[in-house]
Amino acid sequence: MKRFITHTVIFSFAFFIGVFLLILLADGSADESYEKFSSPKQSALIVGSSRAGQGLIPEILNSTLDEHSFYNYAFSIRNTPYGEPYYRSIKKKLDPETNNSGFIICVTPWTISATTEDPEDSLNYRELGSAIDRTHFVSMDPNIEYIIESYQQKNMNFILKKFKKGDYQTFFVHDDGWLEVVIESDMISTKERTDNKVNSYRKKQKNEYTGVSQHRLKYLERIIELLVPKGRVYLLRIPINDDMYEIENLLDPQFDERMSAIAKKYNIHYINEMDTRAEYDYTDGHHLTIESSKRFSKKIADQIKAFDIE
Amino acid sequence: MLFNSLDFAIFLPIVFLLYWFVTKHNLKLQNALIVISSYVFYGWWDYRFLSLIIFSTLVDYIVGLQLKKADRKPKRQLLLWTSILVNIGFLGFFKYYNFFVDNFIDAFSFFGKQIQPNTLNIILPVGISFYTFQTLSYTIDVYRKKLEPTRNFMAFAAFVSFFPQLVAGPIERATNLLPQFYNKRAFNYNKAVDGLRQILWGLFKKIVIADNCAFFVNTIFDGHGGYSGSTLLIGVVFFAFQIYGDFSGYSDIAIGTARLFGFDLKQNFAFPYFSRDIAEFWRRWHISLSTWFRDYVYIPLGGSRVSKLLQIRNVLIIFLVSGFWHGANWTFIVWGLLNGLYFLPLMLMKRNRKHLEVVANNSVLPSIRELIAMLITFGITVFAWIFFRAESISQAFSYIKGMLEKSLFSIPEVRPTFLILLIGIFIVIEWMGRRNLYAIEKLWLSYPKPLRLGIYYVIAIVIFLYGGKEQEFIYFQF
Repeated sequence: MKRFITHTVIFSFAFFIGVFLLILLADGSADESYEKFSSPKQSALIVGSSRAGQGLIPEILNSTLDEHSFYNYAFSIRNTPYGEPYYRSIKKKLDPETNNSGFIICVTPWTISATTEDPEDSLNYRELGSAIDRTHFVSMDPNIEYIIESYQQKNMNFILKKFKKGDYQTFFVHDDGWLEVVIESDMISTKERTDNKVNSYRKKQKNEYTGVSQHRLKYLERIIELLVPKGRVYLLRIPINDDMYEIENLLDPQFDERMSAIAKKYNIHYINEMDTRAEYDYTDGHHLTIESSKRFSKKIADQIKAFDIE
Repeated sequence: MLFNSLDFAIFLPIVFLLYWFVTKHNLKLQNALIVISSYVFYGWWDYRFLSLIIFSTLVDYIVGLQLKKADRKPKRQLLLWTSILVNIGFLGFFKYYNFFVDNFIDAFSFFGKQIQPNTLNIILPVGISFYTFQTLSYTIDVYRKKLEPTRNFMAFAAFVSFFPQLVAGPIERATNLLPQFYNKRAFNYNKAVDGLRQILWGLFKKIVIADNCAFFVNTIFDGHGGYSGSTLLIGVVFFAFQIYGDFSGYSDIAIGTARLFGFDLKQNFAFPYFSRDIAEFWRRWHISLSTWFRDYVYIPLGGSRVSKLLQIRNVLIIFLVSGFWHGANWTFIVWGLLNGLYFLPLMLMKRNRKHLEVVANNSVLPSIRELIAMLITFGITVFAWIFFRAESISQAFSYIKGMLEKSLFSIPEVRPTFLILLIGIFIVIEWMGRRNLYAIEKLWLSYPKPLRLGIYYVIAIVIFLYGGKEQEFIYFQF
């Protein structure tokens, strides 16, 4: 028996060393989440869904706002509508020593709405069981827990994708958490993608989403309450194209009033950039192009700087 | 709990250590540990359905003891039918209730009558087709006086719920497995190492072969209308490897795990794709189910010792029942029927026991004749798999129609070169190990230990690289 256990332990140990060395190769090309869960705890966060993940570039924000070191901790609409899992994750990602920092909370009607029959049925929210819910260690490098438990692809993909970085239809999460999506930018591809995206969101609004959830709004407020003592908090609505805006207005016609009320309650700024939507280009009507993300990030940085000076 | 999950990777060593270190001096405790671990293993999926296993265990245990006391035939028959009705009743309700109701509705509406009975939203308890057959084998063998009923409840509960083979077989006979719970198990180094080797190979089959094929199979079957005949052919050939890798992989992990605890389970797959005719295929595919039907259905019906007409009836019955066992869908019934029709000519010509030995038993390569026979057998098996995989009979026919078009001779749109290469390597390894209980049982034993361990290490790393998202085993749904 001793011999068996010794041999098994040695073999297993060698196996785990091999697995560990392989996981060391994982980086921002693995998927949209790995890098965000393997970076250290952060003091200035951008939170929200993929619109924020792609649209706000911390490097540009930080170059204008010297005193902050923003990290983009926004994921996707599947993972990070406002609720218990995202709240927990943000709490873990936040450096406990943080003070006098800055936080950008990106809001959309989707992130405060539910897909359950009863919008308050939080026990059946779609993000339960997702990576954001399952990942307990959000600052582990390499993040073995994430790869073993939550990585949704074959493990070899986190190696193979390293060699495809920069190719068309690939993405890469930078060290600052920004999700850079490389995608065809010709008119035909963009129009096709936009049509598909708008149609899919129209269907989502009609068939999947059941309305604004008080439970989600409560968690949005809990996140604000968590961050306010640690620095200045900004609520931000990132622009989208006209069609998507129309769908969002159907989902929640009172969205801006809601956000303004929350901002007033906590004495924070609500930056609504929806009126500037014609100034930007979108990859699919929903996400800013890289070029537009750069311009948008610079604009937001300037606004925050102006608020900070006030 | 899935064998290919982190949960099981943690569960197995804990149970192993408790089994060999804490309970090893006490047989009752060892059996109790197996029962508790098995219930945890099953309850991990849905604890509510543990009540079915416990009820089935109690019924068959009591029926077994009563059978010992009963001398009169009517009473013995009553007891036997009690067990059959309880077990088949569970199976019938959970697996077939909606199928029968839907078909009654269709039949009535065909004759112009509209009825609206209720179908129920029934969850199929995992493994119900396996453990009900296993407990039934106990009662039937006791009834036939081939087996002494047990008074040892813990041993019997462990036999019914033994976690390595609880949810997807092999379906063990009480005559083989139950006595193993009566005797103290002694740890055997070679047996345990062999168990680990078989688990490793099972994981390779499941994660590297089956799950990779599954991706392409699902894509091709779901969108079969848009693919060329050659791609559809690739789709169904991949399915043949998917289902083999999936199910025989599960059996390997089950048998290997049982060996870690000192138990010997029966071989469930014996390299079926190297069969030279369909009769040989069915002696090598899902052996525990085929032999169950042979012993408890085919032989009681008269087997092959009856007139030709009755022989045909008996063969068709067991193939149809076998198809139906797999699922409440006409696709499985047609799949069973097709295999029955493949088998009949061999039986009628008395050639169904022609190939009892392993192919090319005394040579490295098969003869041209053997190769052609294997390819033909594989081909007709693959054709039948279309019905097994399709969602409906109409989808199966539409798939076959698409496959047999001129585009069958075009270059396929889906050409996963790396996967084809992997399957090629897999076939070579399986061929090399075809004389053993599983492919790598003795394959590299003559190599120096460091080299052999290096090969196992590479297999383990490949399994990790191909792993990721846990995929359920196909046979869980049966």
